[in-house]
Amino acid sequence: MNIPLNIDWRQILLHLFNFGILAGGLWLLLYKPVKAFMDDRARQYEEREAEAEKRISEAEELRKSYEEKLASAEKEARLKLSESAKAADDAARETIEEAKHMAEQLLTDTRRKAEEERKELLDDAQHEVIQLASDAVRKLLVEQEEAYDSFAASFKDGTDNE
Amino acid sequence: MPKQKRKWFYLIVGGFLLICLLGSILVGERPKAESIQEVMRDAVLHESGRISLFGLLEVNPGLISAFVVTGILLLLAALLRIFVIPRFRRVPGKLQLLLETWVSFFADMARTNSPHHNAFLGAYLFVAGSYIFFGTVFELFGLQAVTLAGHSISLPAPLSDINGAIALGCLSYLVILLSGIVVNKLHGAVSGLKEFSLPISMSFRLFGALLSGLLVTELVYYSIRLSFLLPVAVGVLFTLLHAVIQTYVLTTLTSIFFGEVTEPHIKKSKR
Repeated sequence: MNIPLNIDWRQILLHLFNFGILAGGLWLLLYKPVKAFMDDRARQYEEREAEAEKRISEAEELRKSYEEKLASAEKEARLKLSESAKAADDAARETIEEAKHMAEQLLTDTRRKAEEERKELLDDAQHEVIQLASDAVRKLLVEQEEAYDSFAASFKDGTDNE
Repeated sequence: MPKQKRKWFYLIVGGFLLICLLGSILVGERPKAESIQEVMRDAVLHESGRISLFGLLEVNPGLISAFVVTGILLLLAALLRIFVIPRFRRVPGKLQLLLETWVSFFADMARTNSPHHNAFLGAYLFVAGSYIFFGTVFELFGLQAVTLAGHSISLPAPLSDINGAIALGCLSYLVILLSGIVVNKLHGAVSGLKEFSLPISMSFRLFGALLSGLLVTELVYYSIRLSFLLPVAVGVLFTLLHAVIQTYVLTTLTSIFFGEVTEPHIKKSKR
């Protein structure tokens, strides 16, 4: 059969045979190993990416947990601080009260002591004044007695002499 | 480029162009052995430029080109497999990058156009694309062969032979049809058979595109005056351009139709 354009079935089959050999060879020698290398590398990168994402999510969780812990610690610290401040206030107030009480006590004692001392001094002074008065009286009396005696003596002498 | 070097560059290029122009004017036309019609007809039909295949068969020069291209590609692939691929690194060098780009271009094309089944398609596109590209570029080297008539001819692109183009076009259709049947059974077969014009269109598109490049080159070389400078643009640039275009066209068409016939078939629910 005369096919137009010089189409030849045998040559078509030979071209197919040639292409088959080329396909097998190129697939085996180039396409397969290069593709396998690329796929393997892509898989490794995907694994690394997954690992990195996993680590990032873990780190994020850890960060959240730390933040929560930090917030809780801050809250606790704030609470403790306020408790301490309150305790310090109470202690200070107590100390002040105590100091006031002591001061009042001291003042009272001092006043009492001063009063006692004043009383004592007054008593002493009174006693001394009395003593002095009595001494003075006694002295005066002695002097008067002596004067009297002298007068009496002089009178007696006078009388005797007469 | 420094100013002084640039000046020399322009002088050399200008001088070369001038010599070519003078040559094309001064050289006389040689007596033609055959008319332009005969040259064109022979380029298409290979009626007189046949070559003996090991003394067994008389074949078109395109078939010899196909064998040579296959041999060169397999040798290159073997060398790359032995010396380059075992030294592949995680961060690729220039040659590794070229190989990876070469492979991934077709693998990505297969994945894009046929998202469901693309492992086989990627390999097929890689081989077919490489064959078309290197086969077309092959004609630039002008390897010589002796015809049965004793003339010396330069070997053409394998796919500028109608038999080579039909083989690749029909094989591509066969790949599409069989993959449709394997994946989608009867529905795949029907989808594949609907595109019954595909083998003819693919074959003749390849043949026409490659042949047009060959004919333009033949036309240019027919006149010795035109063969001084013009082949640089016509021969090299046109060949490279349609090598890239035909590679892209055939692989894209194959991958699109492959994706269409292997698409999962969802039965429409009856109301």
